[in-house]
Amino acid sequence: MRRTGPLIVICLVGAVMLFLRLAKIQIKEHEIWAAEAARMVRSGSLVNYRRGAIIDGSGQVMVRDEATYTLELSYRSFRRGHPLGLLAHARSSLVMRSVPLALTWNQLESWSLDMARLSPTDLDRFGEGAALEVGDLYLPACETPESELRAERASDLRFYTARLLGLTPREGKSLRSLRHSRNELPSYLELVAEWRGSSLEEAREALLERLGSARIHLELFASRLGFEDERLGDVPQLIAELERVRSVVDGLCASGLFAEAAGFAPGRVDPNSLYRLVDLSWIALHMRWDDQRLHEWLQDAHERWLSWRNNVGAQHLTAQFFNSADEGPHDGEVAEFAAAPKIPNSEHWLDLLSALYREDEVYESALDGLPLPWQHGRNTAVLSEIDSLFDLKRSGQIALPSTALWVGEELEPAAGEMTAGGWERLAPLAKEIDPLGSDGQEDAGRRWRLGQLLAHLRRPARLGRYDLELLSEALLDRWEANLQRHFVDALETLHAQAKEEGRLTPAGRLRFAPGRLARALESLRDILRDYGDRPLTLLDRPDYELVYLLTRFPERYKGMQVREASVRVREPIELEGAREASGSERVASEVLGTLSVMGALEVQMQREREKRLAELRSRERTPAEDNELDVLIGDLILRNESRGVSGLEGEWDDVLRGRNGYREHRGLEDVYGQGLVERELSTRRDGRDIHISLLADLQRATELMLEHPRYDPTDESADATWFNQPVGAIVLVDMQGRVIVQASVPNSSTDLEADGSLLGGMAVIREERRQQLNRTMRKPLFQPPGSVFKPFVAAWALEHGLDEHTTVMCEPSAGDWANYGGVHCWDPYGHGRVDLSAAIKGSCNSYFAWVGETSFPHVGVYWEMARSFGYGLPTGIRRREGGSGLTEDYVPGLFSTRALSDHERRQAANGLAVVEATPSQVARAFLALATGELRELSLVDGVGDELLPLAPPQPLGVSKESLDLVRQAMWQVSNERGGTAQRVLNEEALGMQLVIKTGSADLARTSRDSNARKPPKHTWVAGWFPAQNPVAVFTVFLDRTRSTSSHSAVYVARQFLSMPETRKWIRSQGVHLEPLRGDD
Amino acid sequence: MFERRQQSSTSRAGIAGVHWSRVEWPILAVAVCLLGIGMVFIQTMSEADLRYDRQEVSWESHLRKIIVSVPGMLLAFLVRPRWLRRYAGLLYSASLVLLALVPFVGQVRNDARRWIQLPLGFDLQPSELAKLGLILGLAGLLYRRRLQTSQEWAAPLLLTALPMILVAAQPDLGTALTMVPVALGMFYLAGAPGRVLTSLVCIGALLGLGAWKLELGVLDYQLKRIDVWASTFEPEDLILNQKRGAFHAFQARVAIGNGGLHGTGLGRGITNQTGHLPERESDSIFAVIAEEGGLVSGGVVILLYTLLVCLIMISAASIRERFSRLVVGGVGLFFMAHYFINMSVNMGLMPFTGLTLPLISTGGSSMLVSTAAIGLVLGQVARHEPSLGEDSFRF
Repeated sequence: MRRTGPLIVICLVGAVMLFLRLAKIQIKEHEIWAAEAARMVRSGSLVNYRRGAIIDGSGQVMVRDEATYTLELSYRSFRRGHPLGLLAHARSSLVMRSVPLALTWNQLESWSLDMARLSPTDLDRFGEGAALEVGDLYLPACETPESELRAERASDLRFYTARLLGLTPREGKSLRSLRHSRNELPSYLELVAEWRGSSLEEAREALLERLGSARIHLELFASRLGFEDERLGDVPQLIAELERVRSVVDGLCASGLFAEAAGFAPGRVDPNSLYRLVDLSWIALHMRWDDQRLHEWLQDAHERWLSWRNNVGAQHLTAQFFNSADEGPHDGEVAEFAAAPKIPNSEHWLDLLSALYREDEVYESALDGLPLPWQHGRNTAVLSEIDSLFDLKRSGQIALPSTALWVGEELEPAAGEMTAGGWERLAPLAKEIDPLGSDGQEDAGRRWRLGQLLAHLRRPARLGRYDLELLSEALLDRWEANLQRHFVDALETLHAQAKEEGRLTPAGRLRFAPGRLARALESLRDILRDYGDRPLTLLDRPDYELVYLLTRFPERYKGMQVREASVRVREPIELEGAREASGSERVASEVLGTLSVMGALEVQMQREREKRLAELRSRERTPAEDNELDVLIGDLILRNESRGVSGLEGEWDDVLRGRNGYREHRGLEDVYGQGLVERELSTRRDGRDIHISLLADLQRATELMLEHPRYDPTDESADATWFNQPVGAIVLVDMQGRVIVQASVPNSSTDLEADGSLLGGMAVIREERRQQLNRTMRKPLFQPPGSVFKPFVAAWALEHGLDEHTTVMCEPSAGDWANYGGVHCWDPYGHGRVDLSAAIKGSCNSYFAWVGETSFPHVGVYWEMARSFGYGLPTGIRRREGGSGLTEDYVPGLFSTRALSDHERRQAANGLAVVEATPSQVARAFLALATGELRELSLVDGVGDELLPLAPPQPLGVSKESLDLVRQAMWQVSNERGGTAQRVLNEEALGMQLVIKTGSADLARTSRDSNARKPPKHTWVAGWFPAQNPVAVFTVFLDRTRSTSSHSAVYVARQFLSMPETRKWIRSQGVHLEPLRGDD
Repeated sequence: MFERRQQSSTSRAGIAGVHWSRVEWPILAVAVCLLGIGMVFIQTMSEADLRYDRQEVSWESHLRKIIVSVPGMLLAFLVRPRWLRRYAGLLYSASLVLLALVPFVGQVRNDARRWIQLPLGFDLQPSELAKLGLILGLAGLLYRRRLQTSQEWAAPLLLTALPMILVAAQPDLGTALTMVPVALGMFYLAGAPGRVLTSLVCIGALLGLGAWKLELGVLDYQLKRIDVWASTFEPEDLILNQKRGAFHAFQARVAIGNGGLHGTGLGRGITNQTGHLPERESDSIFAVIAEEGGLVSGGVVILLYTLLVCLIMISAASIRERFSRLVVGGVGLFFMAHYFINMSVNMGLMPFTGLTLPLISTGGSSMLVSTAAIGLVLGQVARHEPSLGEDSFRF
């Protein structure tokens, strides 16, 4: 025991030590490890909500979410499972360069047989350095098999061959045993024949049959993809797509490998210098690339990095700048009306932006609002480690810049006083920005933005996000140039040192330090698996047959998979009769609006919460944290989640948008259905539908009509040019103010490049007319209502003492057109002596000039009159507090509080010069005229099952008598001889009587109009129908024609009111319409 | 308690000289318990693999290995000490020959050449046999030497170094290093002065440290394992480096830590669910036991091994015949070194090395050698064969 005793004691001490260590891990550290264990088997999945639909007034669905699929490709599964992938990569392993899939497709059978005729022994020997003959390909022996990766290639070839032949697990095990026996083995084909009890020829035929099936299946698959170019063929186009994915995946893998070795992404540095000075043959070797491919990858990686820098990194950092509470205005917009706008700090912005050139953790920290000062130049992502990157005897002696990498005289404090924030010093940079567009062409919009930027640099309170995004281009390019210069200098210094030490490769390039290479190569497998497994989208919304093929026969289409997705679709609106094909996306596009994923600012604003959500998802939670996760899931917007940003989609986004759910799974038995624990942590809630008053059929018909309006060709005064390139809007509302039609051209579906004819040498397409917006509620430029304003002036004046029998002489004077006080009438010869009724009927400017002079002593009266009919006020279409999506221009423009001159008062009564309106405001005003009450317009009738009550009407403050007088006069406009619309909009033409007013508002001539015979004018027709017991109010608006309303807007109005859809709707309101010629 | 029954000339020997009353049934019982524990856990692993469509662990294969090992154990039990003493050198040499054959006829698996395939598909790992061979060889050499003079050291050191070098060249540095405590312990049992052994240990430690720091004579992956271990002792570091070379260590630590006090239950551990833990049926089986049985079962296993080693050591002390005493003591050291190193590795106390847990892990050669070692212990203790060529009255 003298000797064994101490050993027993040692054993006991050791046992105690082990037990204590065990206890520490299992008791003290239990929570840590239990969390890690849970993480391994825990997975969570979001349950996406269905966004609410938009349903028209007749119950027809206009927009909805449709469940669909996305076709994805996991390239790794493809190359490891599909014969085409297997063979291409086997061949690539043989020849050590990337063999195209297209070439492989053509050689599928012959190359497969070549592989099958190899024996496992051949491959083993090849792995050890022996020569190998594969078909007509001969690979000579090599003395250093490690340098040619012979062992790895042999392993790959064994794998690919086994898969190509479809070896079963048992056959694979047999093969492994046979290989271990080290005997000379027959070919794979012979082995397969033996295992399967068939002859060699039968085995060969079986292989060919397998390949033949693969061909057929791939051809079928390609035919279902719906490629557009039929000349190229489906399969070649599919293969081209697969090759594209392969290129992307390979590029990512190579970049991952490089980053593991170098510590930074390859795209950060100049590709040409990198290629010239650094040995990257090890990447080429492992990726089976040739030199050309390697070079292409470097170029591509650099472009991708620059694109990321400009389009993602810089934008996010600039967004963070505006997100910072103390550093700049919120939401990136100019705080133009702020009482005390904040001055943003350029130092902070420079700090943030400089993070793009630092290590990843510094960039992340900058996104959290904690950047490093920009003057710290040493720790850039590239330069900080460069002296330890390469294989050198002594550590690289690099003279890194001691001060900021990017200090240049342009960023030094300017002499003398600087404006607050220090932005002026960046002005020289701003001047360097290229004003040309990305296509190298003159870009007026970009030039304007540059001008704004230079101006805002001097007044930094006005700096907006777009200014800084533009400025960042120049700044980053400057920093990029500095970095590349330092990098190349450093690289050349190291290269010279390596040359001196005799450490360059035979090709004269720098070698990575062995430790770094080893680290990268250790990660090779993980990198290839990781990037190769990531599914990339091949096709959105594949047809059902394709989905069926992939789900029913997944083994035939290795690597291809479908993922459930959702897409927002606009239901097609089919119109009766011979019309052009209606596309679903063309109906009410501006009204319905668009969806978009989050922009950089929104991403930044929810960044903290996203991080918190990621943290909560990854670990065990307390009940309180479960609740917190639930809240976050509901509140946060996913990166790929579309939200409404304009139109009704934007205005009602919080209603249409539902709430994602979250389900957590614990256990890995989900495939086998045993014991999987599933817990719903957050309940999905679909969005609610909204019901709108718009009628889709009528809306579409109106849009089509507006895009192709017709006029009377015998009317010499008609503006044919406008009818060839129509710009205008139509609004139709019912007598409760519900909007039935809101049509506008050009809209987002209009083809602006369509040829239009030029008449009389006048180019009428102007930039402002090309704006695709909802002109029923927007007015890009000054937009006076013209004579449609007169009834309101008349009604008010009557109510405030105007005698309707008072007459005014409208006649020419002294060689001038008929006018009153300088306000010209549309009729050069005048109307003679007119009273109110005749003035309305004939739209006499002279009479109303007089009314303006006498009844409206100052602007306040105009203001009061106009507002009582809704002018200068929102129409009520945007009813939501805090909603944004529908934009309405109701700012009265020049209709301000300043005093009007006499001339302006006369003009104002004619709806000219100082008054503006949108078609919706005009429709609302005419509704008030028709009903005697001011009502709000309404576009949304209900949400889900809940009807939204209409806002109560307000009294007009105008008596019935006054209103009746005006109405009667308006009736005469289209129903009595001499009325401005009687020729076109009479009862015989429409089958019903209208109560309307026409209007033309002359606009100022511009230099483009200087040679035109007639000045441009907006023209209007507005009113209601039928005259007795009206059912609807309408407004027709034409933008910038050369004719008066009587020769322009009236035609459009007639066409609109004659449409079968319109007449059908009118009849549905209980109105009897006289049939028109062609009516059924 | 520690006074064992002395040999009595009046006791009657049974088959092949076995005194059945002297058979150390407690040792056998503990060994059988350990075998049983191994069988239970291998069986649940096998079931788990079936459930998750894996083919890594086979209960039938493990059972086959145990069955194949039993005759080996019986054979070892029946070997007479005199015979063993006579042929110890031969057996040691045979183990060396097998080791030497590995580079020529051995199979390569996972970049190491360690196995010789025998007929009937049985793979023999000579390095396992070499441990037993070393014990016998050293016992054969040391039963006449007390290591009091420097001349007496050369042969034992050479005897120890030879198999170590051959095993290390496979490469299998872990197994090679497990021979060190066995050899040192046997030197101590043989009578080597404590200070000399201490010096040897210090020199060895310094050499090892130097080899690590200067990266001499150690392969890259072995250096990496040491580096990884040194930098991932704390949980945070290990979690951070789980994908950078510390994967195995991380998985083992998670499994052990996940077990807590009472364990997750048989077959319900993360190791069986995910199958991520490498070698969970062999080198890392302790992690599975600790996870699914908790601190309770982990503690029981430590206790059983400690008990086994102590019983073997006590039995060794009771043997007056020096050679047998050294053999039994050597086997005790063998079990102690194995279980201590295996558990230390799994718990992060030592860098990762591939070493099985005797009697519990699956592995044909390991089972064969472990059961044979038990048989050897039982057989040597149950016999007494006087020898005049030794100092029977001195330890």
